[in-house]
Amino acid sequence: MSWDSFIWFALPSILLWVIASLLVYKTNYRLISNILFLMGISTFLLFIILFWNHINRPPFRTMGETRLWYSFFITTIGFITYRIWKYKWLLSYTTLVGSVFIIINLLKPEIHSTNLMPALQSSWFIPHVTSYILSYSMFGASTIAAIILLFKLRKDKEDKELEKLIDNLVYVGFGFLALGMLMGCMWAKAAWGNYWSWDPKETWAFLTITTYLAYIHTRIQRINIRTSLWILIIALILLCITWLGVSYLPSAQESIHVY
Amino acid sequence: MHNKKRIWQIPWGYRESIAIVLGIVLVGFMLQATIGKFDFYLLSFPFNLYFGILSLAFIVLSVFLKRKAFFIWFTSLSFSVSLIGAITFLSIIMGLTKQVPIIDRANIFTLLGFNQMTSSWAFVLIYFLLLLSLGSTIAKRKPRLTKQYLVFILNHIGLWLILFFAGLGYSDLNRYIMYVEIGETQWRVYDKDSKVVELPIAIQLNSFTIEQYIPKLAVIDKKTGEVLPKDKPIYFQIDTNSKEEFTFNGYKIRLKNYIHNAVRSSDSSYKEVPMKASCPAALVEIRNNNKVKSHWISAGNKMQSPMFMDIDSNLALVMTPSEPKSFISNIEVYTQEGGYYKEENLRVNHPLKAGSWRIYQYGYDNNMGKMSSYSSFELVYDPWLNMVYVGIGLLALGSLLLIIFGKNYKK
Repeated sequence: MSWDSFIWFALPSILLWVIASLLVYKTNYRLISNILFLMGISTFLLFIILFWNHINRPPFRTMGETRLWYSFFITTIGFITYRIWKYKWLLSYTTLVGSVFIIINLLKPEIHSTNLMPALQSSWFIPHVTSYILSYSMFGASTIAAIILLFKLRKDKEDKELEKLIDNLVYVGFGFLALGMLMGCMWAKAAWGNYWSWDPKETWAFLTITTYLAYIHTRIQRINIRTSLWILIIALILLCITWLGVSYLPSAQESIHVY
Repeated sequence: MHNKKRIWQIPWGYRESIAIVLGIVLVGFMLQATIGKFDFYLLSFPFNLYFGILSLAFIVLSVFLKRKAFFIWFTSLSFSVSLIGAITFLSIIMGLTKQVPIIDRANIFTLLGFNQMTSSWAFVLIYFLLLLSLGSTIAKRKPRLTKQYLVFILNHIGLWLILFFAGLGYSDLNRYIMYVEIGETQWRVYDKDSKVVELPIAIQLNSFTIEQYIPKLAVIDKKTGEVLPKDKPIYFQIDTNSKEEFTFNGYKIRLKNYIHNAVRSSDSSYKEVPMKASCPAALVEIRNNNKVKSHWISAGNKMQSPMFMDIDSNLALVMTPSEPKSFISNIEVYTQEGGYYKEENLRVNHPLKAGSWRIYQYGYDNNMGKMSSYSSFELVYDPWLNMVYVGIGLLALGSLLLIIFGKNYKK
């Protein structure tokens, strides 16, 4: 099964995921929604297996192959997280992100092997990046909820359920963030002999995680929730600098994470 | 809550915590400006051991005195959050300032240690306060068989172990670079100051091989040597399984043959010869208005000259130089205590563990590429590494539980 047949697996998967993430909002169709979503994941996985078998080597080499795994892990872990937390929007969210990677693969396949430098050839690569993407998506969602809550509080409307949602999203996101970081440590140790070297990207990742730590601890302490929510907004700004901005900082021109 | 309370009146809250933490940061800056940066070698063995024991003694003491106002504050959330805030603040400075190993130009920022943040007094003081406060907080909390306690203890002990052993173990960590010629045994290394040192560990290099990626084709301007089109250079990946053609300005370029380990014959064709001086070569065909010509091209290396193909008077087809896919050393390791280790496939991302040493594939003679006569290794001695790994393991488990349990609100 080569890239030529990808579209015959990719489109049905996307279709199944879209229907499932819509049906989940109808109480009577929850079970069908679950089944459809799993069928989408299975269809996608089937392509990966057949493709792997066809090319006779693990499909980790090209950008296109890496995106294949992103789509698979995002939807799978998204589904598991939805099953644990019952946040219905998670299904639409992971469908959206998974589909974006699939559509990029369909339009701009980059199926030729990119020459991955030796340091990047590691089994930590995919879990490290996937874990970060998941945590970013949780933090993104929690910040939107935080802004909504701040507006409600301005009108003196309390919303305990929304508070719980924000806290849970931050905890789950923090778990993924910490796991992503620890896997990065293991990788760095194997590649360079250092689990932590205060590379600019690492420094920014560190101060992002400490800001989320500050949010978590002020929430346990139950200080004025407005302060906590503002910390959460600042944390997301720091996270965006870590993710997208570090490459542009003059302090980071020799960073190993600039790409 | 404490709005009516005057500052410094117990119990202490945020105002006192922030004032104290700010004070400590200022003391750190002043120490930095007067006596220079913190010398981590003050903490080399056995002094780090003494310091570690003292810290533990402090933490044990804090359990007995946990009802005293000082320790109630020292393990309070207000103080923790203030410390977290301080370390975040110092990290932001570090993230915005270029970190350098040696300061060549002094100004107000270098005077305060901004360019070497992790060895600045302010950072080190906050780090150790965090270690003590975190330790006392863990010790204070009564063990219970609840989800909350499990998540708390895994995450906090994990973090404490990492901070404790990474911080106190830092000065015992040593890194060296060793260059070994193929077929020889070496125990002399360069330390971080490029001084030659003899180690109690020797490496014998049996062989060294470089695997290369299959190169790409590109069209260049013969006058400037630039890859075309200028604004968006096109590289065509050689792929023997694909029949895809590469079209450029109406020229159709097709791959007829590809040899990964090729040596040029006297008639300018290439043959497969598996030797170190070999290099990739391709037979390509160019078609334009029924005119067909084919030619061997190669990027060459130190031993073989490159071959390109004229397309017309301005354009030429070339092969890109090979990029290394992996470089692999076959080594045997002997230690003074009589230890023996063997690794046939030492490469990047796959180090060899030899007691408290870890041996990393570091580099080779870049000028000679595949024909490098030596391989270089980085040797890292880190006796506290396993304890850091225990910390990482506990923290990873704690993170996993955060994902599964979330905030775990009581019903």
